[in-house]
Amino acid sequence: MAHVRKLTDNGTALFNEYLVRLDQGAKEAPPLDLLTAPEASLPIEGEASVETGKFATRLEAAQYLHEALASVPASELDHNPGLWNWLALFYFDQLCPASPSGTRNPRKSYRYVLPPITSADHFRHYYRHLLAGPYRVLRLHPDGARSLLSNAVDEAGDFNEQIASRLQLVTNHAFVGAIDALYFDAAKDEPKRGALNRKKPGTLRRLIDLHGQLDLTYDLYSLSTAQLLKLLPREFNKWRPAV
Amino acid sequence: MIRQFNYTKRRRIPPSRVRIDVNKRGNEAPRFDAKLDLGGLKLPEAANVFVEAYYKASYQRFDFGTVGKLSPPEKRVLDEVERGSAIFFRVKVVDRADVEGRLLAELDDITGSEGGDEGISRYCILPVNFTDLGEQVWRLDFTGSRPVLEVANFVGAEAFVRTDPLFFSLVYPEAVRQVLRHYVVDQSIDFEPNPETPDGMWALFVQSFLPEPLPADGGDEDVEAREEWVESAVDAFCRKLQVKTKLLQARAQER
Repeated sequence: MAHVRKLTDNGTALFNEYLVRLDQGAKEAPPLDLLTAPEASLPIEGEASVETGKFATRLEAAQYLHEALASVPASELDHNPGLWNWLALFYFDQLCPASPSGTRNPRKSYRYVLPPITSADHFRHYYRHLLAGPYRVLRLHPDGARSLLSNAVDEAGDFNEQIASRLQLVTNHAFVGAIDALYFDAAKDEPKRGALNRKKPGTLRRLIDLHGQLDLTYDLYSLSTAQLLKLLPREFNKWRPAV
Repeated sequence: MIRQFNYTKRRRIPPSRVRIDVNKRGNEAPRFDAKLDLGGLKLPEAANVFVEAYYKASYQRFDFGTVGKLSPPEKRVLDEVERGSAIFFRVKVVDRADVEGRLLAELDDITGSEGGDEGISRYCILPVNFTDLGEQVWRLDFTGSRPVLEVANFVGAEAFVRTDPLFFSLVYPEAVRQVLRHYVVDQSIDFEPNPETPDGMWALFVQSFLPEPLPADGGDEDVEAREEWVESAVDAFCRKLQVKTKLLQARAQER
């Protein structure tokens, strides 16, 4: 059990340097000393503790963090890179597991380290962070967004990439609900096969294109998922849930 | 050629009915105030009114009540929108009675006045966004509804952009060239003067200093003619604003 803290600029820079070394092939354990070193991390407002459990999916990670961070004020959570960077370091063995030979294959640094809020990249990459992203998606869609949260915690997945990089899509309840209704197989608890195909009709990318068209006529935020589904053309019939 | 049809009879809210003020607060997220006057536009009293703020992928939405009873939300902090200096707004009036969610009226692509400015928000054809550009000083961004001049956010950048003749003389002619090429060569649009569209506003702007009409678009030769037209426009822009003369005067004063 560890008390949640936030990385300072210095701590974040050292974490970033570690990521660069990994990218160059270094076989190093994560610099976990930064989690408690006073020059690298600071206490947060509110009380929160986390344990090094194993999350099967992004959804599990998001649910766990929601409980663990329940008493942390929003000012520490929303757009606060320090806290999320600390958590990414704390869970680094899950977010970037080591192979048996000790090497790791880090993804882009924003998966672990949120850019500062003054950077244009902050908002572009917020939902791509492997912990801040699923946490925020679950908060926005407590009963949905299964397609965006079904991947392993170290893989953001293409559903997330296509939707979460556009705030206008990821924050829209009707749209995210429609994605689940069309492309998520609740019985198997996983996205339907072929939903991410780039060429087939009625797939996710077509739905995103159609969003741009419908947005000219409708205020899509004012619609329910059922209302939005009714507006979709026949090419989406194959994907509609059986009534 | 890009054409836009309005099959749904969605109406455009006159810009004079909307005023948005953005109050920057140091490193804090900016806050905004919106004054909307939707009376007399024959919009249903019960229709919902929303104000949306956006820049690139960032987006935030505020419920402003109904046409008959506007009620701005207490919290109008733009904490989900990119912290550059360019923030665009749109105002939407949304049907609740006939076709749920249908857009009845809209005004998009509004830039707010900064706190202290007087009068109606003016349409800025080339908003400036101060952002991290690595080692680049400036560039144009064409991913949004209108071109944006992105400038590196170093200390003193805002004053440099607004008042320094060096920046103006070296950057703006090239920015004008790139925007015009984007519209009339890369996108091959008609470029008709129109105060309701970004390209139309640019066409109006060019019309104010270049009387020559844009050559028609039809083949390779026409592309060449359009490229020459762009150069004429940049030349006329520089002549009208005496770009080189002002730069030299500023340099003489520095000595």
